[in-house]
Amino acid sequence: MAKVMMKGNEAMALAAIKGGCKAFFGYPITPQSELPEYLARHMHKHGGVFLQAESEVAAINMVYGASGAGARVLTSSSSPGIALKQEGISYIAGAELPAVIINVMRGGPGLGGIQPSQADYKQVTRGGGNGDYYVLAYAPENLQETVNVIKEAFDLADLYRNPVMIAVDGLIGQMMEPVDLDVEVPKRDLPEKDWATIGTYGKREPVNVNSLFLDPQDLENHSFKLAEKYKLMKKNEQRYEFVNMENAELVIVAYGTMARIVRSALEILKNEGINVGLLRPISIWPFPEKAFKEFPDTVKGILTCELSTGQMLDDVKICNNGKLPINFFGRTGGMVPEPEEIVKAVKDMIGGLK
Amino acid sequence: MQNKIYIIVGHYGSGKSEFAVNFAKKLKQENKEVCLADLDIVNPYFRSREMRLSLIKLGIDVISDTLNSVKGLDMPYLSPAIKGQIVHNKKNMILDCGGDVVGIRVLKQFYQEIKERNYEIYMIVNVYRPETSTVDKIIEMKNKLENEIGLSITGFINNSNFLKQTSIDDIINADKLLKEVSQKTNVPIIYISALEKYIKQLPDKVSGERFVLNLSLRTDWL
Repeated sequence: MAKVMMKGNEAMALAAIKGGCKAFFGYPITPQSELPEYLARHMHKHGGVFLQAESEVAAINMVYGASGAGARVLTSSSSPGIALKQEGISYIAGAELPAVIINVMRGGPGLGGIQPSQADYKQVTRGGGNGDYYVLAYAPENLQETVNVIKEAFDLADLYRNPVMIAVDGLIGQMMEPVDLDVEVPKRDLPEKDWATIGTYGKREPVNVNSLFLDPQDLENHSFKLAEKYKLMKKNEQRYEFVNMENAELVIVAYGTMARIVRSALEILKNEGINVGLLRPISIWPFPEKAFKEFPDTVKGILTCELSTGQMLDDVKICNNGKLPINFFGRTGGMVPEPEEIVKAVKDMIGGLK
Repeated sequence: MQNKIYIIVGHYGSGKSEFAVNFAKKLKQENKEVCLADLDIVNPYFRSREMRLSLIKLGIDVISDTLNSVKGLDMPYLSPAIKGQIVHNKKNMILDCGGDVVGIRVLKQFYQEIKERNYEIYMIVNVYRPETSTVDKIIEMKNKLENEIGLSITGFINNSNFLKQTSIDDIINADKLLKEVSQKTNVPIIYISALEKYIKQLPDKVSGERFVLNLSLRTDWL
């Protein structure tokens, strides 16, 4: 398939089909509704199941069921809908089931608004559900990267037997961009799904899919086992990009749409002789802590930019460990800044450092 | 001379709103009275009403909902002022519709009034959208849209592009495809719209009047 012009939500839906997704359960919500709409029209042509559930809670529990039977499953929603799904996500993580979840973020809290936002960072990276668990989470910045990471997400979910979340803001869901759906993505060596509840056929012992462990020793053992898995993800799955880091006097940390705006700001600053770099986290859980050890010595401060009042900021502080001064710039509620606003925040910070 | 109603229809993401905003400015530059009505109630992003304030400054009326919202309103209703403008016909009107068949369903309420007036229905086509990428698919989309409105499309606008990744060959190839559609359907290509740098390079053989598009809904950094 050659390059085509697609809307973010459509491209994400098609990427899921290309990633081998065989079942979708969801419930419409702006600004991601074109995603289920696209799958409603196309899923059956690829031998898959599309079902609009009666609610988000029902949808995520259908994901649990289909995944338990070994299918590659997707659900998608936007911020308040993802909040409703948290109980099910915790159960899926607890039962060690693979699932891919797309969150096209809008403003919050509560019903919030329908314009783009990154205010779900903590919901995504800290888990909105109960218990000691994490979801592998990616925050791509353009449609090509989004499509690639969704195709890869189904392998990652199967590999770790854990939910994988793709968190994009509403703008990425709604915008048009050229995209090639057939770019090769890394394939993982996947074990058989011998845990899937598809019947014993009288040939093997029954298996259980379950997140209930009433004996505290059993639950502790299970939690330690999960913790080992998260350690492995932290070791192997950190993903990030550096832009213009050579001789940078300041590093901006930004992801998704905010990183796109920062790229434009960097160009403006460069023309004025101000050298600023960008650290763009692509995985937001695990957060790319390795990247902070690679900053050049020229860096004198960090500016965190988000479409929120400051959530990733906490992770930046943890990784910086008190070493460099940190400033924050954010717009929220669906407001998206112009590059000039970032330029001003950079100049303010540099002025303060001198 | 009777004022005209221009109805802009087409597939999701084909560039209807960007064209509508630019077309409103073009008519205004020709010293015509213009009213742009944003009829898109199927999608709350990238709508022409976002340009409301800058268009009003140019003397172009913008109508959408009764709250005169610019961004963020996700309520499926139209201001009754739209019907008023169509009935009174005091200005040239651009009806910027939502995408696909669902996007033009709202037109039905104006069917009688539009039919009795001087109107054009322009279908915007980007042949690089997968669902309008072949002659047959474009004709299928055209038929679906016409069945929904109950009126015939009077012209195509060739808005084929890959945004910043467009090449001149992409536009020339799109022209070939749309010419075939035009011959099969007997519907003319009215404009070929693109950014100024592409328009300047277009060869003479390309169909449709050249229409320079200045992107306004899509910001530079996007």
